[in-house]
Amino acid sequence: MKYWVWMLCLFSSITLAAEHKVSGVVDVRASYTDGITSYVDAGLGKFRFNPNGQLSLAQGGLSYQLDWDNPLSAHVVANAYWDGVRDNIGLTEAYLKYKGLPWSNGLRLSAKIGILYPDISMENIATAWSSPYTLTYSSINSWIGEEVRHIGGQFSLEHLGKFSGSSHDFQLVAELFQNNDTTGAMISWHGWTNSSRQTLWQEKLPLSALPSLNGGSFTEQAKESDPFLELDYHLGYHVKTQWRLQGLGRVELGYYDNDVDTGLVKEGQYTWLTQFGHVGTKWRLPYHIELIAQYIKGDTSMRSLSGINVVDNDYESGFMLLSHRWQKHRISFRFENFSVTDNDLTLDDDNRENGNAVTLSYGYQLRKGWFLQAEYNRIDSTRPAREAQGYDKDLIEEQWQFASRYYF
Amino acid sequence: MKVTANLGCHISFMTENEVNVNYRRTMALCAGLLIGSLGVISEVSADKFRLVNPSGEPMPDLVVYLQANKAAQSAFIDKISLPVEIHQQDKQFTPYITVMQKGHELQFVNDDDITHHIYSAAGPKRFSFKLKKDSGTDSIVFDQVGHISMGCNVHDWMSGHLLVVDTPYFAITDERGEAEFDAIPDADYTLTTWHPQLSVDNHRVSQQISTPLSQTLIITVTAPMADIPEQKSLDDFEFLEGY
Repeated sequence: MKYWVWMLCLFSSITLAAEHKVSGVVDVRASYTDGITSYVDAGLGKFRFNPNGQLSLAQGGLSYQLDWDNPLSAHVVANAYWDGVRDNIGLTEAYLKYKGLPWSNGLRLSAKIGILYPDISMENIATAWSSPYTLTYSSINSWIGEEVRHIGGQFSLEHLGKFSGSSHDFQLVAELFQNNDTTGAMISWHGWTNSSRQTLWQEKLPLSALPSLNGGSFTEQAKESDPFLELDYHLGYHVKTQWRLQGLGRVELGYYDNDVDTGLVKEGQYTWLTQFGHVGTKWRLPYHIELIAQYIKGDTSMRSLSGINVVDNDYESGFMLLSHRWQKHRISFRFENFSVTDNDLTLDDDNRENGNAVTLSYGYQLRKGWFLQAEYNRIDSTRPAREAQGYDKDLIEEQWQFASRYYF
Repeated sequence: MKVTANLGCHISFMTENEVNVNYRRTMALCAGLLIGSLGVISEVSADKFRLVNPSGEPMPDLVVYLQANKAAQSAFIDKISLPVEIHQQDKQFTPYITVMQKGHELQFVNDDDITHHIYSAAGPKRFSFKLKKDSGTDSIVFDQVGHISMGCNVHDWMSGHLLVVDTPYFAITDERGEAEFDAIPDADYTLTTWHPQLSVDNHRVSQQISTPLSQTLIITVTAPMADIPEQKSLDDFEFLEGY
């Protein structure tokens, strides 16, 4: 009894001096997909929806923020998907944030600690990591949303130019993290996708019935990948530098290394060493056109118990998104190109892939917070591993979507 | 807003709203009730200044203030004026530039439906506070002269400037580049022009003048002006979450 009284007192004293903020997004979507079984459903299809029509709660995102009077705040983000493929609800982010005031020399320190995204996506900037530009995310950010998240600390040092009359800002970000030892499995085993799902913290990701996973080379591997698992207790890191030109744009450059000790298998999960570099820019072009471009290039490898690199892949992906907003309208066009190169000698595990994707999206703002959005996606890709599942290695997948998105 | 003081010592105030509207328009402030306490002031005149760049184009939104060369001729504003207000509106400091006399009070008012974290991290007056939606601060007294550059720690693109001066004779030039003072005691003054984007030392240029002026004094500001930063997020969407 006393314990509860104590807890209640503590809770009230914490919350009294704080401001609560709840925001969210409800994305109800009608879609039609011309393709093969979705990767979300253990297929090799590159969209989140299975073939044919679907009415879904494509995203029910809720963000809760507790903001103290000091520079500290707590953030929890939950997402729900009711899409007929994998219906689920759970947390996607939970962290404490410190954002100090700038000092008189223009330097500012900030930090986040908890379940975090690495600071990479330039599209996913809105409530619950949604994108204001398109319904689906680029292949780079679909991958980030699927298996590139962790528990860690993110530390940022910025120099705000306005303190010295300059329009240039600089930022250095350093992140240290754990709970991402299987990152690389999905980019290898189903390749790049155009998705709008984020893996929930408790979720596991079904693997496609590839020859290597279906009684082949990887007998130890479970049927599902557990993306936020810690197996070797090594700290991974991500460093990033950003330059901003006030009012015009920003350019950034970063390097990610999960620094995993390969060769471990526990509970059906291998450890994957995943490293990549990334560059990106967001720039205001003439005629009110916004440009976002990101490029990522890296490798991932996994070692058998006998010490051989049984998966050794290079991958790269880049996109260019142009978006124009006028009055209540926004039109966005994205082109991307991606590939996975398979360097290992495991014959029943062919991860080779290359392709390109096009997205055309139009949004109309009905009133504050309420948007209608129509989108067309087309992915033209070559993936030899599809042949083992009875499909042609060359495939064009198309998707039409119409969404009502309500932000609050 | 126009607050007029003359030898008859009457002060005419417009409505409170008009007082709150900022000082973008040409404005004149003159000594009011305290003139009596200064003893005898011989004559006053209405004087007008026009700021132009070297090409002759008008320079709006610059602060102009006059400081008497002899301290005794300084005048003090009365204490009954309302607090100056700086608003946060559409995630912008409104107005961008505010000028006020030392010793006066200022209030911050948040008209937005989100919280702002207003700060001044350098200069003569430093402060920081979170301002919830549709709320305002208590009045804050600014008792030191100088330039106070303000920001919002949530929205980095927001910026506003406050200049605290030790004279009641200040104004912000209108779209014609003009500043008009209704009742300036005849004397020798240092006229200073200030703008945060004026690319000179302390962002200001000064010159000597004597009133009364026979006609509008045209002042050519030769110092270059940097671009005024747009108070707008690079991410053009209302529902951003600080990613």
